[in-house]
Amino acid sequence: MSSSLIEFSHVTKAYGALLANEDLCFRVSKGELHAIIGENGAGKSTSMKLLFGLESVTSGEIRFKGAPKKWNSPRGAMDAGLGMVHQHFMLSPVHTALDNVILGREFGHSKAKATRLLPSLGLIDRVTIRRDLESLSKSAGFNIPWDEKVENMPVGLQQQLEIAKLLYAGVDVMILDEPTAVLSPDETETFLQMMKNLNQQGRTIIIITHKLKEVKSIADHITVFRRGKSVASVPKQDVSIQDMADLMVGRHVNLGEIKRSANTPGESLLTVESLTLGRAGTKNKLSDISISVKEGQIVGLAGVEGSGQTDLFNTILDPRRFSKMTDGRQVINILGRDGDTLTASDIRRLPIGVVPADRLREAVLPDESLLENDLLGHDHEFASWAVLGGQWLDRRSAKGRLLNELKTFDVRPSDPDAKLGGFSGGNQQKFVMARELSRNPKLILCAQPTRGVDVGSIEQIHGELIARRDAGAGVLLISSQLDELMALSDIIHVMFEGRIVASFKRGEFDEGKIGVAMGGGGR
Amino acid sequence: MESTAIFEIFLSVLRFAAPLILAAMAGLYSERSGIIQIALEGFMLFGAFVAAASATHFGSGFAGLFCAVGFGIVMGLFYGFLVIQLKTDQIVSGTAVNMLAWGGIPVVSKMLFDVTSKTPAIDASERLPQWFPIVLALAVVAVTYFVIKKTPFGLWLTVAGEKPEALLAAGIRPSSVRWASLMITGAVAGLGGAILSVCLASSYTRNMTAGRGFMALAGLILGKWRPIQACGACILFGVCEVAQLKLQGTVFPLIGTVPGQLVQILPYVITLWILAGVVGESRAPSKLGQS
Repeated sequence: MSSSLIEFSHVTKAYGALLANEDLCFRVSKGELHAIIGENGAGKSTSMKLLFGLESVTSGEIRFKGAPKKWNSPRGAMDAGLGMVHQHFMLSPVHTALDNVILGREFGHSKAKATRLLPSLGLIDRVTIRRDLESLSKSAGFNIPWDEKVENMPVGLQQQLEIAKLLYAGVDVMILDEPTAVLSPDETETFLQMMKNLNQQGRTIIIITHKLKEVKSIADHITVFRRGKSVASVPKQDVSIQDMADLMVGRHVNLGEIKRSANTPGESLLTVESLTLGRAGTKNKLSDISISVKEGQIVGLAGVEGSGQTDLFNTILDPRRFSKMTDGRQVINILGRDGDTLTASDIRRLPIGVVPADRLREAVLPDESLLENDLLGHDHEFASWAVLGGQWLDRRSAKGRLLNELKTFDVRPSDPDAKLGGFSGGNQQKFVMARELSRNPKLILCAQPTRGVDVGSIEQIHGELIARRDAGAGVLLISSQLDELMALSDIIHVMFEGRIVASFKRGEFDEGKIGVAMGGGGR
Repeated sequence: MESTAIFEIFLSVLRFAAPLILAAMAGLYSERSGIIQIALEGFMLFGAFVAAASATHFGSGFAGLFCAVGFGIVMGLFYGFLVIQLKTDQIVSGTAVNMLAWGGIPVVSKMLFDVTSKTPAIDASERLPQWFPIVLALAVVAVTYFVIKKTPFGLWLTVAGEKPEALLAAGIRPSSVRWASLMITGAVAGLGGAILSVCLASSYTRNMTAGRGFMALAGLILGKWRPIQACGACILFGVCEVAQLKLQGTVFPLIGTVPGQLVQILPYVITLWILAGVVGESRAPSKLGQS
């Protein structure tokens, strides 16, 4: 076929005995917006690393413009007109946006070098580069503050900056690895629109993702990966979202409503009464928040990121630390105990399960084994008093318990001694859920439970939360995914600028109304 | 006070500060690229010895400086071999380089000059003028500022110390940048040591750097790893040093004579005081020591 720009032909990549990619065959046509979907660990990223020259092919061939690809390094790929945005941003936080974009291409296009004074002296001409970048901004629809340090920029702008790097380097083929995983719904929309525009300007775009709705809305052609193989490569109109999910997982996946029992909420597990958090002279982080979570109830908190959900979450977990900021009023009651009398470690010893939003930073130690991570915060369960008065950890029984947990929650591989950091995002999250839920907590505080998690695991995590609710536990659920909140919650509170601006009961959920409230309208 | 006297004091401040400034600039290249530079003391000591020894050998002060720079580059490469190639701990390796200087130089000195503690005096006509180190140090600060702010290498250097993955993604190997910066560190620190023995004194004496390498490191931190500020910090140390020289033996009203030791700790007390509160948060390159 003459129109195919990139062609994978029976490509296999082996790491020792493990086949990360096996017999991959698919084509990307010029000017196409091509989506590669698949669960975590299906080999999507590996295939793109092969294309980009970060890894070398074990067998098979990758063809570019009809001939076998010649490069074996990222630099070579870039010179051939390919560019890649990695899942974890390759930006230096303390440098300005401008410096990040020009890194490695300080003189812009080689033609300019000879004619301008500063480049001919070997110096960076930031004034001229800035002008070029601003015109590039205009044509691509960026609104990047070029002189701002990256660390002060929201994630959405950092993503734009990564794209700007590629455009500045003049690439024709853009490879994006999970570009929307860290973006809020708003930012995602902006981003997808930008991708459409860039595609219409003639660039070939390959997006790796597992967000099927996005794929359906923007892609021209879809390739599905499962366990290292390409199981389908079809035009968008030929598949539905349900088909895609089934192909990815290899069985029928339930994307629809999860069955829940029609119970009536029992007694109150967590109450927060008119909580205001803030220092004199500054804007309040939280204003007059009142919520309650009852037995057999999932309470959802919606809102764009930074609307106060995280502050509320942290305040509930350590109410005493914040008591000075709340005028000394006792406003938080957890499982019948006054929050002001509870330290963070007291709270850990109550039957509470906590799943923080940023699991790698707040829930686990990525460099430690599953067993160490399982003991984290639960060490007292396995401690026994020894002869000399010191505490011993009973690792054997801890391990036995962990193995059971891993089996119940289907964490793969179920090896207690493996480093947690080596697991896929979905399995890491399943592990955190396993640790927190296997102690049968009465109250579950859960933030972004499915962020960076694949479809199969999402189904499982959602099922588990509903099962807990049906069994009488109360759940406080924070999520930036409206779909998730609407699928799980019995009641949704919408937060905006530290306040609850609207509340909806199950049956009254309306995506449009909730969306308006999230943006601060409809008050 | 007469204006010439003030000018004299000003000059003596700068004379004391010049080797510190050079060493601080040397450390800056290394640390901004992500490599802890605790070996400045050793580099300076080697520089001082090599400069004095070769100045007497060739009968030229400039030849001394030249050789010190050359040997500094070799030492930079040696340090790079340890921490980049062999990936040894940077603090341990740096300490090893310092100890190599403390222990190794007397041995070589004994072999060459039959004494362990001193090189022969350099002929007065061959000593470099006293203003030379001051001009040299300030010129190096200006060049460093320019390199960091305006050149691609400066950008690579700072990204290597902050987010090496980003540099690699842009097609530049962070380790190459670090090799280069260590060579510059060796050269400039060697120069800093050389002016001690060839310009500010007439020979090498045992352990003549007297902690200046560590002081320069403090100046670098105080200056938040930025050329101009670090230079300012080193000048401040110079002011303290000159002040303590002038204050020794002075009789204060009410207090009487202050013990010399108390006056001598002035620069260090001021460093601590400034680091603790006045400059606020001093943020190191985030990958410092992790490369």
